[in-house]
Amino acid sequence: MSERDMLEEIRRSIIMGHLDAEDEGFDGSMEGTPGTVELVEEALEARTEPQQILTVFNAAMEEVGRLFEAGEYLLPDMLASAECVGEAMDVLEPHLAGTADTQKGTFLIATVKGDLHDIGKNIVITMLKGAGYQVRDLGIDVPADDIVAAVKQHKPQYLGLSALLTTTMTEMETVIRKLKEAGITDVKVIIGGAPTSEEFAQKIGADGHCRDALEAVEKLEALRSAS
Amino acid sequence: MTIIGERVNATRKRIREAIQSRASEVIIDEIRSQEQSGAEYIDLNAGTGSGDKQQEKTDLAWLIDIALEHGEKKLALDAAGPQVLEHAANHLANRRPWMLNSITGELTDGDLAMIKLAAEYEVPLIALAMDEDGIPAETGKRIAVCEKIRDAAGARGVPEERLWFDPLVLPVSTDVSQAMVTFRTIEGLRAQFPSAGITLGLSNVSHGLTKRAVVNAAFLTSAICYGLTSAICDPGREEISRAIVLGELLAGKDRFCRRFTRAARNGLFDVAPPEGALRQ
Ligand code: B1M
Ligand SMILES: Nc1nc2c(c(=O)[nH]1)N[C@@H](CNc1ccc(C(=O)N[C@@H](CCC(=O)O)C(=O)O)cc1)CN2
Repeated sequence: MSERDMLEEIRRSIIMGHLDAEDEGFDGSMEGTPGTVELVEEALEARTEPQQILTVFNAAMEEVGRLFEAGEYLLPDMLASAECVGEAMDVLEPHLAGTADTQKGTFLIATVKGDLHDIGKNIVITMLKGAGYQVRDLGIDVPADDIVAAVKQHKPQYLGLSALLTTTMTEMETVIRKLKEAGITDVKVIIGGAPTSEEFAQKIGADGHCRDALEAVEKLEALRSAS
Repeated sequence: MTIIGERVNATRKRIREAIQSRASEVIIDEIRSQEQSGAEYIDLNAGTGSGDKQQEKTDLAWLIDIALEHGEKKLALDAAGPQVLEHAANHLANRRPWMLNSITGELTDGDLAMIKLAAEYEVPLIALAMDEDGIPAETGKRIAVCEKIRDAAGARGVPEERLWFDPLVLPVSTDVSQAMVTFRTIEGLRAQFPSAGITLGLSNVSHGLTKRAVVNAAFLTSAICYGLTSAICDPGREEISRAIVLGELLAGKDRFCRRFTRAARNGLFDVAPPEGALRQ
């Protein structure tokens, strides 16, 4: 199979929520055929660049979001696809991880309060680990006060915030305000998630906005060399 | 959920007459339609209530022959007496996977013979939660009966996973507390015998009521939530299909709600159009 076909198979498999060979998939017909996990393993064996596979995750979840919006997919169908990406990330992670270089600094990340989306955040984590940062994950639905407390405790150089909902992105502003109120000025805050933008980042006083995980790596590199 | 299709049962007039007149096409039709509707086992019961055991043996053997020739699903041999079941088992001679329905906690010589038969053929055995004193009114006693059966079966080579307990269902029309007694019994059996099957004859619950299909369906959905793994029922009724899909959904047995959402997409839950709407 060509690399393009293989990536297309992975994309389709995620959209169908086809986790692995034991899973029946969205239409109930896919048991016994290779699922996302097997396909990603296969692609890695065929020496596909892990980065390439990551971009497929994005594309697939975008389509899933479209199907959801169109009313064709229901919430659990979205969850099934999310689980595919989650499991695939576990397969991919060892192939992306570099050696943690403490000199690059510590990066703390959280999905903000009220928001349960973590696929994007997890991809960012994997990429930054791969780039050699020490990453600490606070999880999803994290209240601003908890984030501030964690920053006080771990004293990271960088803080990442993720939000996927228009209703939760405003929570990022709260975090930045509370950091200021706590007198914390030496942590650089970068944000990401589909509804956020460069403009929004500036408005709330963040140090940067990332469209995707690759840009998260670039932004951190830039912030690091500037400091 | 393992569906045991109930329709080939001589207590039904249609079947009784077909058996008496050897109208095999009626039986073939009932078997095929249940298989198409998702029955995993076809229950075969030739008991007309006449008490003529010789006749019942011949009749059940006739039903078995039809099922072997015209059906492909597993068979549940259903009779009250051990002689009839033993005869049927030997007639079938493992030409198709099958199970025995049923014994009671009375553990008569006949029951013990059935246990040995189940052990010898390594087939599932349905055991009713009742004994010589009848059906216990309370959950605790029904479970105690099952414990006794489990021990007797275990000692004779039938492991727990091949025992399918029947908690028994009494009509709510004469005692409104009965559905809950069955539910609690299912729950207790599930906890105490985690690898055993639990099945029941569904339609008893609605005996003497109106709108029986709706009552049966609601009961089935709930029973699945308490841990039911099988039911003896008519799989051809859409209420049954709905009840099973909903039960497995609410019992947490439907990963990503897939069977439910698929059934919904296929229109299983769409309300039937009013009479006449389908005609041009
Ligand atoms: C430095 O820090 C950084 C840097 C970069 C960062 C970063 C942080 N965070 C992200 N990035 C960036 O890098 C990542 C990698 O490149 C990228 O991350 P992304 O997350 O953007 O991309 C991922 C790799 C792939 N994308 C995703 O994983 C999201 C996919 C979609 C389909 C999605 C999913 C999967 C889910 N959902 Co939700 N979901 C949708 C999404 C549709 C879409 N088109 O985005 C969206 C976001 N959901 C939506 C909705 C409405 C909801 N969802 C909900 C629930 C869910 C699931 C739980 C079912 C599931 C999440 C499972 C999980 N474990 O994450 C509900 C809310 C739950 C909650 N409180 O959070 C619910 C409200 C649905 C409901 N009715 O209950 C919509 C939001 C609409 C809006 N206006 O806000 C939505 C756009 C779908 C839609 N088209 O309607 C970049 O954004
Ligand atoms: N282990 C076990 N086995 C069983 C039963 C049980 O409990 N437990 N009970 C029976 C389940 N089988 C049937 C088969 C047909 C019908 C049936 O068709 N009933 C019609 C009417 C019957 C009639 O014609 O009088 C009704 O509307 O309910 C009901 C149960 C027999 N086998």
